[in-house]
Amino acid sequence: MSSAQRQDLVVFGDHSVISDQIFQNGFHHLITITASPFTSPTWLINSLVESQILGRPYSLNSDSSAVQGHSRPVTVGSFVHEPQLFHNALGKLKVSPQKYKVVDLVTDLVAKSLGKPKNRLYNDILQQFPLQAQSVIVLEQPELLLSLLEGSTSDEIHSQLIAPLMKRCSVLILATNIYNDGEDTTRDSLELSRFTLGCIYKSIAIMSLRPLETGRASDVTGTLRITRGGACSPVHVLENEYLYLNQKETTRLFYR
Amino acid sequence: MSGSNSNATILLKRVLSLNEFSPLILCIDSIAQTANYVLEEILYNASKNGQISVIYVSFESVNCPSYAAKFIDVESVGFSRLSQAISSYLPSSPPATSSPKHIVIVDSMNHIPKNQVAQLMASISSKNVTVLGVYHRDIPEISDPTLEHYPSVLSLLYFMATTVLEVNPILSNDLDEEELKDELVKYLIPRGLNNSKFQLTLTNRRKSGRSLIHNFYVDSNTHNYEVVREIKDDDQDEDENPEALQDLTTFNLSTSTKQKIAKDQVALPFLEAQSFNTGGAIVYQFEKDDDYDEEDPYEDPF
Repeated sequence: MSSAQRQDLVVFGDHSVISDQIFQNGFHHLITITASPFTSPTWLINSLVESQILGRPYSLNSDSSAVQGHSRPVTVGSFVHEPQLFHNALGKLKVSPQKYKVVDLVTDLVAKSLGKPKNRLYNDILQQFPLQAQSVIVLEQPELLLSLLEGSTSDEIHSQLIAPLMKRCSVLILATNIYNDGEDTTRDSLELSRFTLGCIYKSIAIMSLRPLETGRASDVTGTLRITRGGACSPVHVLENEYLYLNQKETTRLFYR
Repeated sequence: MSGSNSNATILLKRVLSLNEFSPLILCIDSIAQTANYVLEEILYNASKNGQISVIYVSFESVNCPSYAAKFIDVESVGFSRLSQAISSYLPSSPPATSSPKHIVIVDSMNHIPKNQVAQLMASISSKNVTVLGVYHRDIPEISDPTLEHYPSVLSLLYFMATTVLEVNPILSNDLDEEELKDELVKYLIPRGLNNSKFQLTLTNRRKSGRSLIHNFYVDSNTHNYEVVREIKDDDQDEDENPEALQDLTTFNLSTSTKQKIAKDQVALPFLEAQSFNTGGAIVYQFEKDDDYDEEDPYEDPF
C-alpha cells in the first residue's frame, strides 16, 4: 500500500469524527463499535478519545482535511482493560491526563459485587461516571456483566446501566465483542445476541471491526465499516469501509 | 391489474392516515431497516388528516422525539404502572369529532413479558386510540420455562393486530438476500441500508376475516408509494426459449410439443398412493434384485 492511499477517519457528513451538531439540543446518542477477539477495538477507542480531547485524531488523520472539533470532557471505563493501558496509550498520543478520566471497572468487580443487590452494583458503577452535558463516555465490553453477575440479563444491563449512562453524557461510545454461533441457542448466547442487537437499534452509527475474510495479511489487519444504526442521527452518517493496519505505535487507514 | 394497484395504494394511504380504524398497528422491523421511517410516514399522513396527539412509550430510546406530546420512560415509571400511566393521558370518554386523534407509539414490544402483552393491549386499546407497536424481529426471545407452551410475543401481537406493516430494505444490485442474511447474522450491516426508501409489506385484515397483502416501495422523502410488481417465476419457466439452448452443447436440450405432451401424461409413482383404492395397504412391487428373506418377520413389507 502506498502512503498516497492513506485516508482520514471521517464518520459524519460534515467531515467530522463526531459532529458538533450531535452535542446540541440536549439529546443523548449512542455509537456502537462491534469487534471480535481477532480485531481489538483499543486503537479505535484511543483515536476517538484523542479526537474528542484534541479536536481531531492526529494519530490517524495525517493531513488536515478533517474538521477540527471542540475539545470535550471524556470518561473511559473498561470491563477488560486496566486504566494504565489507556494512560499509556493516550500518553503516547500526547493527550494530557488532566483532560480525561479513566474509571477502573476491572479491579475486584466480582469481589465488590458479593452480597450486594444488583441495582446497587449498577448504581455504584454509574456513580463513577460524571454527570456532564456535552461530554463523551466510552464504555468497553459491558456485555461481560452477563457472565460476571449471576442472573443478570441483557434487558437489565440496557435499562439499568446503558440507558442511565447515556443520560449522563451527550455521546456514549460503546465497544462490544460480537459472538455469533447460529447453532448455539443456549440462554447465554441468546442474551448476548439480544444485548448486541439492542445496542445496534439504539445507535446512530455502527463501527464494525472485523478480520480479513481471506486470512492474515502482512499489510492489512482488518476492515472498519461505518454504517447507519437503528436510531435517527441529526447529522448524515458517511457510510464507508476502510482497511486498517495496526503497526507498533500507529494505525493506518485506507479506503476500501 | 392497474385497478388493483390503485386500490392497494388507496388502502395504504387510508391505513397510514389512520382512516381505517385499527386499535393496533404492528410494525415489524430489523437492523437492516428499522421502523423509524414508516412511523414518520404514518405521523405525516395522520397529521395531514387532522390533529394528532402522540404518546411515546419508551423501552429503548432516552430522547423524546419532536413529534411526541408525552414521553413515558418505562424504566422510570415501572412496568406494573405502565398501563395506568398511558391511560392517564388518554381521554376517558369518547371525544368530540374536532378533538385530536390519540396515537400511542411503543418503541419496542420485544421487552414486554409475553404473558402480559394481551393484558397491556386490552388496558390501553379503545375506539379513540391507535397503538403503533414496533417489534424487532431479529431480537431473540428468551424462553421462560414456566411459560413453555405459551405463544411467542410476535404470534400474540400478530393475532391481535388488524394491520401489520413489515419493513425491509431495497437491496442494491451488488447485494442479494442471501448475502444480506449472512452479513446480518454476523451483526454486520451492509452499506446503504436503513434508508428513507424501503420496501413495505402491508397486511390488512378486513372485518370479514379476509387478509389483504400488498407490497410497496415507499420513498419517505417524497411520500411516494409504488406497488411492487411481482414477477411470476412459474410463467417464466413455462416459456422455454429454445434459442437460449442453442450452441451450448452438441446434445439437443430443447423439447418439442410432442415431447411436452408425453411428459405431461406420465403418471408419477406417488400418484398411486393418493388413489386410496387399496384400503391403506402398502403398494410394493418386487423387483428381480430385491433380497427378500422369508424367515425374517421384520422384513415383511406387508
